[in-house]
Amino acid sequence: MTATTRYDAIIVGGGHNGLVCAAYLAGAGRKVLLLERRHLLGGAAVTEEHLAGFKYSACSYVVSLLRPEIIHDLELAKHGLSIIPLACSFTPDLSGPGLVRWPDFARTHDEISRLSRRDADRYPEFGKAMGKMGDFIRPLLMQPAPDPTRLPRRLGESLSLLRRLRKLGPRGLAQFVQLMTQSAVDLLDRWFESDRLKAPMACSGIIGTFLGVRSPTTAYVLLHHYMGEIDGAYRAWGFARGGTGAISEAIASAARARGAEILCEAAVEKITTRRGSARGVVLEDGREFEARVVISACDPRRTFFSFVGRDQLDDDFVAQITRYRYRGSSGKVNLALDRLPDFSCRPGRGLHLQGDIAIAPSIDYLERAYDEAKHGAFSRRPYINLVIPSLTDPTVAPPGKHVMSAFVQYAPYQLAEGPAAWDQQREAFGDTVVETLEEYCPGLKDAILHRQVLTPLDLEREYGLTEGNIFHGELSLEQLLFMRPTMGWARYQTPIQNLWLCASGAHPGGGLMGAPGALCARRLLEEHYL
Amino acid sequence: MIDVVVIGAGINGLTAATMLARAGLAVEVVEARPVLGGMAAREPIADGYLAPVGIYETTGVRPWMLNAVGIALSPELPRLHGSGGVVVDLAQRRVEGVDPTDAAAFEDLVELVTRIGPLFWRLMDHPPIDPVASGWRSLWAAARVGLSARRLGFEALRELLRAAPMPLADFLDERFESNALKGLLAAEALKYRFAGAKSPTTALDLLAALVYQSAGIVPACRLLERLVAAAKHHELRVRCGVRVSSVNFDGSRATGVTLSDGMRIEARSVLSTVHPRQTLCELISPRYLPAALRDDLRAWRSQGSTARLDLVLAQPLRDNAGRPLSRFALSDNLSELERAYDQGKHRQSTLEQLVLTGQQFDLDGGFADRGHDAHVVCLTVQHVPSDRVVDENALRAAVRQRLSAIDANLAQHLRAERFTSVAALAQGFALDGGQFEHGELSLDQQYFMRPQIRCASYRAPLRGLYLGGNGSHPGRGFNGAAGALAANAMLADR
Amino acid sequence: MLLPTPVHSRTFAACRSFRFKDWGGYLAVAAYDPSSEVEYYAVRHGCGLFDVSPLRKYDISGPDAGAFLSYLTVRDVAKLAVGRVSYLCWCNDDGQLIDDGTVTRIDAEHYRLTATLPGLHWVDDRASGFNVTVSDVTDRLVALALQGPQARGLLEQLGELNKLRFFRSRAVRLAGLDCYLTRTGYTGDLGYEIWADAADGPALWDALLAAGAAFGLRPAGLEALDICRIEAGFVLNGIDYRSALQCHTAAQSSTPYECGLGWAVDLEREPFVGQAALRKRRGEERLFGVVADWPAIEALFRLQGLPPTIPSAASREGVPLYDGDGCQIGRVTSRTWSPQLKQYIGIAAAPQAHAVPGTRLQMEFTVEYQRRQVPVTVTELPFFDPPRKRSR
Ligand SMILES: Cc1cc2nc3c(=O)[nH]c(=O)nc-3n(C[C@H](O)[C@H](O)[C@H](O)COP(=O)(O)OP(=O)(O)OC[C@H]3O[C@@H](n4cnc5c(N)ncnc54)[C@H](O)[C@@H]3O)c2cc1C
Ligand SMILES: Cc1cc2nc3c(=O)[nH]c(=O)nc-3n(C[C@H](O)[C@H](O)[C@H](O)COP(=O)(O)OP(=O)(O)OC[C@H]3O[C@@H](n4cnc5c(N)ncnc54)[C@H](O)[C@@H]3O)c2cc1C
Repeated sequence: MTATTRYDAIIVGGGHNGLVCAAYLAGAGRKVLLLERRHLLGGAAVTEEHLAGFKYSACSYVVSLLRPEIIHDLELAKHGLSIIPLACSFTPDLSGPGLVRWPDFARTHDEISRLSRRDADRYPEFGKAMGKMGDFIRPLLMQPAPDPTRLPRRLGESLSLLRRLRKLGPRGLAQFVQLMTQSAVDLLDRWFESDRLKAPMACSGIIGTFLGVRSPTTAYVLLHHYMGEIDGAYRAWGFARGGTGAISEAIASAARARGAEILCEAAVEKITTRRGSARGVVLEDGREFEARVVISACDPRRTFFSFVGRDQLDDDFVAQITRYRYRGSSGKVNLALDRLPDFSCRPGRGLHLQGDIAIAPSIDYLERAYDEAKHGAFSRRPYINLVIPSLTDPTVAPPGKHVMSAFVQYAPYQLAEGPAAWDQQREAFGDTVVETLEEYCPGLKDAILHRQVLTPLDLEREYGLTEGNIFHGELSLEQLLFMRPTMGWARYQTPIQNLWLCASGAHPGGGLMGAPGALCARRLLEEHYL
Repeated sequence: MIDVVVIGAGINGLTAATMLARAGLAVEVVEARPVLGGMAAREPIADGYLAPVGIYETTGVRPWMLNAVGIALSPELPRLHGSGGVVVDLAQRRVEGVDPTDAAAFEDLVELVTRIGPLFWRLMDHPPIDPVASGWRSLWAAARVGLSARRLGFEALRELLRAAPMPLADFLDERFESNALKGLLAAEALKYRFAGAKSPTTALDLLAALVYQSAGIVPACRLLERLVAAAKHHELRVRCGVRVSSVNFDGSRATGVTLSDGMRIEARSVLSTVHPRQTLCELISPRYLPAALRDDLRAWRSQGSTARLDLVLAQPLRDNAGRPLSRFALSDNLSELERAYDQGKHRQSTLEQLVLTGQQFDLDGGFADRGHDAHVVCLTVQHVPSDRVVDENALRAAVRQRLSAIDANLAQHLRAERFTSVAALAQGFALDGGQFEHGELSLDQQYFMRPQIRCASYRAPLRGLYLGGNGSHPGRGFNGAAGALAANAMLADR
Repeated sequence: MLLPTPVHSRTFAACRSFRFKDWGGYLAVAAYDPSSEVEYYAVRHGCGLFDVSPLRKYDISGPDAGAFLSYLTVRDVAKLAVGRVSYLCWCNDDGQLIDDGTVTRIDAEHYRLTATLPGLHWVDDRASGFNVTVSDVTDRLVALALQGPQARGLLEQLGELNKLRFFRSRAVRLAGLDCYLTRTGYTGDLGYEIWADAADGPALWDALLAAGAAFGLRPAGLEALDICRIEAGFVLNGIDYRSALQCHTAAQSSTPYECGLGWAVDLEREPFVGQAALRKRRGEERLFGVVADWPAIEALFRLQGLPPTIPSAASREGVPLYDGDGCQIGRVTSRTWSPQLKQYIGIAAAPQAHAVPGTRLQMEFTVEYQRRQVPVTVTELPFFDPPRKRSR
């Protein structure tokens, strides 16, 4: 089949970033085609129904990083987006009543007071300090990364960053350095004494990373999760009504309304080039499309090694992309439940179930979970982040029934026996998760009507996440900012002319943020590449 | 009234005191232990045999420092043996006992180390830049660092920026196949760190270790001997066997120290080379320091995890080929090393994995009285923090076991042994946790953060009090650099 | 979700207005009666009983207790004799106020510090290096403030006071219960604060109320307290200044000088937290009182065709203060109609030059969404200071 129309831009991959990019470009009057391999849009942000009436947020399950300016620019509320904040953070315990952190000061103070009065008194200050650091970092998330190695061309950006750094003052600057390099536990140790408080707080430092709570640099990841905001209200995570897929659908609807053409079940096989410049794509089914620019919304390795081909790239760049690390470490178990689980430490259907629930009884527990994984096995007693969205959003389960989403760490892509061994270990992994949960809510097992187990291998196969990494490459310091995906190519452009990157493998990285997609589109338009 | 009291007569204290004396100042040194030398001082292992309790080798001994104290020494580049016949030879810039790809990759690594050397030394040989200070001086200093960084060229800069936050394991896995080589490099790089090879930011430790070692190694005793001689030459007054119990202030500046025997020494300034938290929180009333600084110091991490073991052998340790070993770093592979760290981290009592590094000295090293013919092996055993419950005898046995894998005859030659636990080091040297370098050399405790952002220029936030121990920049290599830079700061303030 | 105080069963039952407030995480009564005026008049003419249990209370004991408190706070507490109370505040390194309260020397090595806001960590962190133990006894004690001209008579019915003098304290038995009594208060009137075991709270409350009928006693809520403390010229953490622990920027914080607490700062002594900064910041700004021209307020209402109305409770929203040229020079942080003085009064802060008594300034005043200004006159604090407060 030959191309009939020539597009301004083809976007490869219908994840939320691809969709955001498409919506912005189409909104600026460009002729845009978006191609998605699967039958549904959203990538890692999808709602799937495996048992009639039960809607799983298959991968991504809570949202907060989604940039408010994107919600506003694309009028996502008009296109059906509605985000319901989580009620609290609940950490069940095997002995004692567990801990619930509420948005309300007095209630949280009371809860933490049972562990430590000092910690309770100090807790609000911690949020304030993180907020302050967040205010410093946040602007970096909505602008291309300043690159200090590109002086003097980018002198202005680097200097303004430097000025802002100095404005933090000595103590603020020290805190900044600590946040960027310390472990989550080091950071929290400065503030709090209670292990039972620190453990659930430290979890934010490891989500999506292959690091432990005691690994240096996890403090930054913790901050990254603290920066979440919904519509400008800070530090709030929420569910999208209708499941996470509703976010993708809202963005897709906004893109279509702006004139973007979207094709599903259109798997790209090759990005074609002519004299070092991208000119279009070839699909697995043989269809071909041409455009002035091709924008990949897939991760860097897939983009360069599968779509473009090593032979089109110079050795140094190939080496850099080869070194770019993925190493997925998370799995997901989605459950359809006949009835609401009952936590023995806090029985009954309280509001505490309407938040996120962390199985993180101690720092040591979390660190041991990591230790097992780093030696090539999934954690026998993993860290689990649970949510029961059906309590807040009844549209995702039949009346009286529930869906439960369990995000699980660690599930290393590289098992000691190799990634392929996941096919044999999938059910054992699912069992481990259910058994761990059963300890906290006896009777859960009997309530399970259906279970979906996603190993890192499944994330790779099904959702196109290379090595199962949920962020398109580790969010480690050496892969952030001007080094994402590699130094010199952090501004969405690539060594192939007219080939751009717009997804989580580009600055500022993964999570349901939409920033890479928006920034890529902005650069294309503002600098007249398109 | 004298000019300066120096607290501590370790390598830093002696370096600083000698420099100050050479500049014509009246200096007095106070040392709590009965002998000079701090952690480098030799103390008896058994009849007739001596070895340092703490530090046995120093790296990064720079010509400018030797000049400053007026001594001559030539660092050497001994071969570093690992398991499985792997030998790193920095003098020849190559590695033996690995396949050609690894050998070539090692040469590339040495090349990278050579390229980044000047930037490292630019940073290590000078006081840290104060990022919040203004004025042309700090701008100039920053510009010079910036220039050194530019001179690296794009690729070396990329490697450095990328390596800095990386786990050492990833850095090594990208380059090498040989497990023995990776184990050796990691064991050597992390010898004093409470971190595993999979901990982020440890790649930088290897780069630093290689830069430092490429500049040569000096047995600690030899450096110490020369320093003591130089101190004698300048008729430095030294008081041993008495502790400083407090630093005194008159409201605006330091006025001297009070000793544990009640005596007071009046001085215009005080230079402390002991652990920074010890200095600022124990020797000084809380009233004199900003409350926030005390909070920050409380969070200073200096949990030691490296114990010491010294062996006296009738015959030298030899490798398979029968050659006497000099330096060695034993860890078969990264996963073994990581497990050793895990066991330490979780304070397990088992001793399944051991990571050992060490150096063998012959009599020239000055480890025995005349007439004794023997060899002394100084060893570091990693990841046995003081709160880890391990049986000392079991530990010794495990070390002997590990060493007999290299030299089967070890047991027959062993004449004496001395074990020094982290707790004993912490106690004996006021190390506050037992960390050799007075504070974990993690990224957040280096450069302008060492020991705290407000006192990284060697000046405590109290007039007349200076900090020049390893808890100050660069705090690496046990070479007296921190003392020397502190002495420079004091001279500049006069 | 607010916590009950030890006398919750009594205060909750007595509160007919259903107007409650969050006081540091505890449920506190704003006004027992739909109008707080009767409570105010009880305090000024009979006596009022306030449940002040939510005040944070820290017990500090050990050989260094006095030295530690002198280091932590702005006063030389070590000089305080046993059985005496002192009012004070504490700051961070930059001289920014963290909180204020009273300290009582209960015994040679035992002090009790009260604080407005949760801040145990701040106190406790400072204690390292001192031979002391700090314990939070907030939940172990009930604290009742009995304030007003009849307070002494009432208490003498229940126990032997031995003429407890202003700012003194002692252990007493009241109605057969072991109590600790301090002659202190936040109303600027004759008054006492009674500290007892939390479990004895209800019994103590009942005994006071039973005996109080003859002394014009009424339970009084925070609204009445607020008016009283403004009349007495006392600042309130969170209203008239913001604790440095809660500030985002330095500009939001205040020094004791800016809050009229300069008199409590003992600068010339051993170093204490914030000393160096306070030396430099002495005299930057001042706290003073303002009295509004009532006819001008009436005129503003008349402009809208309305009769003048003033809310019965004090206003906690700060308003700008302008000089004669209309430049904003300061702020009024607390304002109220004073039923006793029949004046509209406020606590204000501005640079020294504007703080001279008699100076005429303009305060913002809003009527029916229209922002206007009314002339005010600068006065010394307090507005109300009856001799009975400190009488023997
Ligand atoms: C289990 C899990 C839980 C998570 N939880 C959260 C969370 O709670 N909150 C949060 O903020 N983030 C979460 N994340 C991370 C977040 O979902 C991702 O970082 C984000 O969705 C990535 O979006 P993207 O648009 O960059 O890429 P993707 O969503 O990965 O989009 C890439 C798209 O490309 C498509 N594609 C692949 N190959 C081809 C091809 N050959 N041709 C055409 N199309 C192709 C894929 O199908 C996919 O749709 C989670 C991720 C996972 C996996
Ligand atoms: C902001 C603020 C908050 C307050 N909060 C409370 C509170 O929560 N609880 C409470 O009980 N009171 C509180 N008070 C009241 C306060 O404790 C005294 O009533 C008030 O300080 C007395 O000062 P004065 O200006 O009325 O009298 P002045 O005579 O001008 O001042 C008395 C001076 O002498 C000192 N003094 C008086 N008696 C003694 C003594 N026995 N030993 C040592 N020094 C003494 C005072 O501290 C002060 O320095 C507060 C006051 C202020 C300003």
